[in-house]
Amino acid sequence: MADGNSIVRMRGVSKWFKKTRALDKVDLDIPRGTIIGLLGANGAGKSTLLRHTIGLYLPDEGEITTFGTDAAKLTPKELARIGYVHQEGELLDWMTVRQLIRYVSAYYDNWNHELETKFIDDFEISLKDRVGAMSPGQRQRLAILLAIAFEPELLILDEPAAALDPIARSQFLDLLLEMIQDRNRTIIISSHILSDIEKVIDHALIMHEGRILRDCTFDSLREEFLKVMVTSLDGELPPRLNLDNVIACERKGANATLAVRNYTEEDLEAWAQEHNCKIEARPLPLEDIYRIVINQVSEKK
Amino acid sequence: MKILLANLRHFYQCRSLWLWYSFLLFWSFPLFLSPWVRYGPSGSFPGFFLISFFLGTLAAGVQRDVLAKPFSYCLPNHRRVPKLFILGIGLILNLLLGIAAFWRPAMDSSHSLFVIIAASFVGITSYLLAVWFVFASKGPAGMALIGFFFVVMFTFEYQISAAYVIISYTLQLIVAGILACAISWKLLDGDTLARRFCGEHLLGFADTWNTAKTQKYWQRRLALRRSGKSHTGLDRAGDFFVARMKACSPLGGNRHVLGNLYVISGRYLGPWWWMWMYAASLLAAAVGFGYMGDTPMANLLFIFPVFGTAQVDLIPHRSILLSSGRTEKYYSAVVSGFAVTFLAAIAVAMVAAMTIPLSMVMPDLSWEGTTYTFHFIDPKKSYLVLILMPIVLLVATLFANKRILTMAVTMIAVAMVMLSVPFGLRLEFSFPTTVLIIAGMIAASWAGFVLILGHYCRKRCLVGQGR
Repeated sequence: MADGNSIVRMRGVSKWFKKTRALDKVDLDIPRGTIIGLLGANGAGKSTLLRHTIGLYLPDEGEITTFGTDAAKLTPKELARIGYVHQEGELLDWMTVRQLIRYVSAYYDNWNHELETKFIDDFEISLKDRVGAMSPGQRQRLAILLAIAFEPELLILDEPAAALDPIARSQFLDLLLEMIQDRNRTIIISSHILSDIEKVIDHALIMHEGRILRDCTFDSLREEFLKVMVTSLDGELPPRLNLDNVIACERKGANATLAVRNYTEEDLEAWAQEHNCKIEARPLPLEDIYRIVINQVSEKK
Repeated sequence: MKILLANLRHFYQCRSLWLWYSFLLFWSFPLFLSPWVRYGPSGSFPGFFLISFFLGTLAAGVQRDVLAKPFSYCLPNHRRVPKLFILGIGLILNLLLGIAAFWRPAMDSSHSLFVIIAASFVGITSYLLAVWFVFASKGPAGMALIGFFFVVMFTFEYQISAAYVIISYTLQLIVAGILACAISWKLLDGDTLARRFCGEHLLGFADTWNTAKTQKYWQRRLALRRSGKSHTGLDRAGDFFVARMKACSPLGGNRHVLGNLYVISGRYLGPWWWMWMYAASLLAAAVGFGYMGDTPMANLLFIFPVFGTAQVDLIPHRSILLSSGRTEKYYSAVVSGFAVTFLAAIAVAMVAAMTIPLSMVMPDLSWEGTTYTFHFIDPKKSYLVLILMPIVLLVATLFANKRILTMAVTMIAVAMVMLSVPFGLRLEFSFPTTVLIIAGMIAASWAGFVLILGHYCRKRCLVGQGR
């Protein structure tokens, strides 16, 4: 998806941790104004990739530019445009919440105090609490507040909702939906809770063993993989359905549920008429698409 | 039985425990050797009960670590294991120690047997005392062992009298030991212990060298201790730094330097009464080191700041993305390094300076036939701080996730001063030769600090596995 509008650009990026290859010749362009879902199993290289974009990690090979600057040489000017929620939610535990917010806000001239107050109220964050004495969920809320209150152009969320309860997660998603109204804002969100992130993303990156398997718009991914419910209009379905690119199939008498790839609804309608069937097609949930993509790689091996 | 064996595995599979075993070996030598050297092979070695204390701390500490793991709460039949394990292992080990310390071929066999049993029960009482200390607190189990080292150092003289007590009051000691075991059997209730420690954030023996866990533990403790309390000193420091940060240009480096200094100083700031505590500590140090007097041991005063700052990471908030780039992190780290060293040198020089007027008023002290005279310490020797601190701060920052390395450098610094004792090196400050050498050493130390830190900040990963 390379174009001149990229705010993060990676070319041939590889990273080794001793004998483990964490990133394997990654090429990536992140265009402005997209909401990117970064998907992958534990150890797939998601956090490593995110840390490279902000210069916390340096690549062993390849180059990375963020906002047009070498990621290793980002200055306060560029960094003040990036918000980052760290996977482990490390904060300064000895401070009170109020002290920590004041401290972090001192780094940003564009700190939005109204947004801060709103977020404190919505997420019921107590300003008097010591950060180290907070529950993991409360700490995560605080980390999110610190990352968004200066309204960054690029927001990197590394497992932001992992420690949140269902209500807080839903509030967080509402907040994200609110934030993406700003067309200039780019959000990269890495999460294992795929049912949540499929509500907000418009682009998907699927990683596996340090490589990017898929880098495409979420719409194209949803068009590529379909769930098809077939009902025969004259008794049992034939033993062979005569359909290519069937990834999964469950049959019961006159009904079958299929997961298919690379079919348009028109193609499927034509097939249904030919076989005297009724057909209903809908996109597969992201979780199923992810599983299919990863399984395909494993099968190739 | 299988669970008991599984618990035993911790003791040889956990590598960090081997370090504690080496400590035990190291301290056992003087413990057993001291009476031997002084009284010959006919003397007994009652110092073994200090080893029992060490073993008790170790046994209970490891059991406490296991109990703190949430999964262990629901393990079938696990709850009675700590009690069985601690008492079973304790009885066997202390019997062996009793034999090693009191077995004499020349002694009448029945009396010898009673003495060995009495000694074993003294050992197990000491062992159970350590167990009680460990289970009574939720603090780091290793802390009890620090006390142990001091006890070992100062009890050589009393070990012999303890031997007479064991030989003379065998029956009474056996009864007392059985009573201690019975009480412990009652008190070490598996259900209560499991509920008390399940899911607790503890710093176990195995975590001693795990920097991330250790830092998290101490930060959490600090937070809990400060929770719900107003800390005027800390709040004022926050106001001071934040106001100045906001006044700085957003693109300049000063904002980041001030932020770094605030975070580094945070752990040393608290309520106002801490000021009195710091002042009292300085005065106590002046008195203590003054009585060490005119010996090279007094040079340890100038190593003290190294202990205090061995854990200071000059890049303190690596994973919170602030607007500090690598260059800003580098400048902040260098300035913070200078500031920390400067403050440490001032503190040490103040202690040394305090010894000058004190030397005029402090009386001579006599203890066990030795007279200790108060001597003043030359404040000019603070140059040692200026040489050592950049090295230690550099190691602490570069290897922030490898605490053992920082400890090793600190210990080397102490060993160097200790080694200077037999050679009578007093690190005097004389003009012009030593002044030039010292100036060269300070310059070399700081040049290394600035250059290596620069390379680290530009070319290395700042967080995670890549560091």
